[in-house]
This record gives sequence, structure tokens and C-alpha cells, in this order.
Amino acid sequence: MASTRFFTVALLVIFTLNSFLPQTESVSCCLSYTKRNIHCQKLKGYTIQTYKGICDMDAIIFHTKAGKFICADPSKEQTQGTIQCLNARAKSLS
Amino acid sequence: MENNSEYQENFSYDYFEEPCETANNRKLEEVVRLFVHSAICVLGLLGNVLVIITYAFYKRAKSMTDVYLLNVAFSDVIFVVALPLIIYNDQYNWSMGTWACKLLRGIYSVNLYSGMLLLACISADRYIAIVMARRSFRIRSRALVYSRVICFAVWVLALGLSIPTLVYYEAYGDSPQYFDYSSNLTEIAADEDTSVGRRVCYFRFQGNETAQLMKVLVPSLQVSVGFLLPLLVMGFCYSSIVVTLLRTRNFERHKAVRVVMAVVVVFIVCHLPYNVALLYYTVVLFELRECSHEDAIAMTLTITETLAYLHSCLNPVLYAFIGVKFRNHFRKILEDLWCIGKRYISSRRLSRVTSEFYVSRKSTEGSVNENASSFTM
Repeated sequence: MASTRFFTVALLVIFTLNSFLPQTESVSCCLSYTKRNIHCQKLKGYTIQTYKGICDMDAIIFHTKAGKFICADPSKEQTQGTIQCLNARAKSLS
Repeated sequence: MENNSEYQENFSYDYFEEPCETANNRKLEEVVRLFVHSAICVLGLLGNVLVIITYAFYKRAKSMTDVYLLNVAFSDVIFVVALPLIIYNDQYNWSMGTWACKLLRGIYSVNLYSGMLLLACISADRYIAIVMARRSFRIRSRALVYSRVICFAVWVLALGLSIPTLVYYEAYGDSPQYFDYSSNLTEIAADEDTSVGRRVCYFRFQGNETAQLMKVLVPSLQVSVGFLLPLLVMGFCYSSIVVTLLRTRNFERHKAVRVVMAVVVVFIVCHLPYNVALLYYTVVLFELRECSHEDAIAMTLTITETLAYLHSCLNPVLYAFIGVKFRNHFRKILEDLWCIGKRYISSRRLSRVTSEFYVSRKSTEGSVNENASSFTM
């Protein structure tokens, strides 16, 4: 009886303590590359990931209009083509 | 994640590689930090501060082992104080800045190395005392000077090994240049909220070569100098000690052997899993891998690292409180505290009994046993 009460109290303490901690976002890194072709019409922009910081490989992260992120291999022609397409689109808009 | 299927329909991609979040590890880390690490900090602080107090007030560090034990306790205390500060900063975006990041990570690294190397020194000291008992008399007469020089050398070496950490760790926001081509302004604002990211305290390099070198060198040094070297020294010294102890005819030898085994087994159980995980992590570092795999590696590192942290609260028990002499001094502290609290003589009788027990015990101890007094239970 006493032990169940102890556990209930302990669990309560645990949950209250847990709710005080801010939910931290973990760092996300690309670990592999997409093999598919990406249409630049569906993209919003891109981020460059380098292994000089917290991540351990180079990558281009494409941001889609639907709010998704896609990892691409920066050394691939396809990827460079997509970036050029984005650049061209930006120029034509301005 | 919920709109994944809907998104796939819109997009005709049935599969794409997204940045890996290691979400399971994040949850695990939060729970472990809150409950296990906090317990380790409290217990580690308590045990090691008691060791320091005992040495400071009741037992002047006389032998070589005493000096080492005091240094191990210092190292553990600093580590245990740095740990919650690191966790706090990790939770709150490294609000204390780059210097706090360098300092805390540096302290962590220095104490990791000094702690491990000092444990190797303790095993070497016990080896000299027991295996080379005849020759050791001359060496040990100048022991205090030697041990201070050796401790100083250990701290300098630990600092030297931590230089890469001190130089290359920085606190910075983890979302680099974002090239936005969308014309919809509201969308940009919404995106900025999510992708601005938090500040992390981690390696940052200018050049590609240094990045590749240091990301491999730092964990490799930690595994080789911070684990394998002490393991080899301890393995050699303690196995020789056990052989010597088993050859002597001493009624307390089995207890001493058991203590030696406990010291070695606890060291291996605490540090081997973490170092194996760290080595594996370093080997696959630059390879393409699945997110679930990365999550599993990260979780393994979190769990094994906690096990390694645990060692800093077991050290006082394994090395200091296990010794008869140390325990007697410690008992005196407790009695004195009791006396201060009670201010009555009732406890005086108890202290006389203890000291008689201590004297009678000491006179029965042989020469090997005298040297091995830190082993006797």
C-alpha cells in the first residue's frame, strides 16, 4: 500500500518535472542522398550542409513548398542542375 | 510526419531522404538527463566531497596512493559540477555563449583524461608497493615528491589532449545559409520559425581537412589514451598484484584479490561499452547511413555514456571507502559531526572502541598487507 502510494507520488513528480523542461529540437543532418530527380517547380529554396559543423557530410537540403526537406548529393549533376534552375527562376521573377 | 502520405500523393515521390532528427534518442536523452544524470551528479558530488573532506581534515595525504586518490576525487567533483551546467546549456540554447561552451567542454575533457590516467597511476603505485615490495622501500621514501610530480604531469597531459576541444568547440546556430526563392512572404516567415534552429555547442572548423582530421582524431585519442592505455596499465599491474597476493600466505589475501577484481570489473563494465560505441561511431562517421541506424547509434552512445559517468560516483567507494584506514578516518568524521550535533559524551566511548580496533588490526597486518591496506575490506 505504502509502496504504491510512493510510486504514484514519484510518477507525479517525474511528470511535473518533465513538463518544466523545454522541449529541445534535436539537430537534424542529412545522412544519405535522394536518388530521385527533383523538380525545381516544387521547391522553395535550399540549405547547404557541410561537415565542418555538427553534421558529418556535405549535402544540399532542398526545401519544398509543402514544407518538406530533401537531402541531395552536392557532387551530382542533377543537384547542381536543380540549383541552377532555382537561380534561373529567381532571375525571371525579379 | 502525419501529412506524409498526403504529401506523397501530391508529389509522386514515394520515398525521399530527409534530414535525420534522431527523435528517439532525443526523448531518451531527456529522460536520462533528468533522472539518471541528476542522480549521478548528486551521488558523485556527495561521495567525492566526503573523500576530499576526509583528506583535508582528518588524514593528511601521506602515501602516493593518497595523493592520487585526492586528485581523482577532485577530478570527479569538477566533472560532476560541469555535467549539469552542460546539460542546462544544452537545454537552453547555450545562452552562456561560446566561452562557456569551450570552458565546460574543455573541463569535461580534461577531467575525463586526468581521471582515467590517475586510476592507471594508482594501479602502478600498488604494483610497485606489492609486486616490487623489496625494492619499493627506497622508491616510496621519496614517494610524495614523485606522486606530486606525476599528478602534475597527468593534469598537463590531460590539458594537452583537450586542446582540440578548447580550440574547435563553439556555440553556434545550426542552420546555415538558407537560399529562399519563394515569392510568398508569409511562407518565408512560417519557415523561418521552424528552420532558424537552436544554438549548439560543437566542433566548428574553417577548413575541410581540419574538419576531417579532428572529427576522427578527437574520439580516437579519447578511446586510445582515455581508455586503452589505462586499461592496459591496470590489466598488467592488477594481474601481477593478484599473482603476488595468491603466492603469499596471508589470511586477508582473498579479500584483497576480491577488491582488485571489483576495481577492474567496474572499470571495464563502465567504460568498455562507451568506448566500443564511440569507436564504431567514429568508423561510420562519414559514411552514408539510414536514419534509424543513426538513431540507434545515438541511443547506444547516450546509454553507454551514462554508464561511463556512473564511474565517477563509484570511485570513492571502490578506492577510498573500501580501505580500512580511510573508513576509520571517515568514521571519525561522522562521530565528530555527531558530537557537534549532540555535544554529549555518550559517543566518546564508541570512538575509543574504534581506535582500539584500529590499533589491534594494524598490529596484525603483515608487511604485504600494510602496503595493500587500501585493498583490505
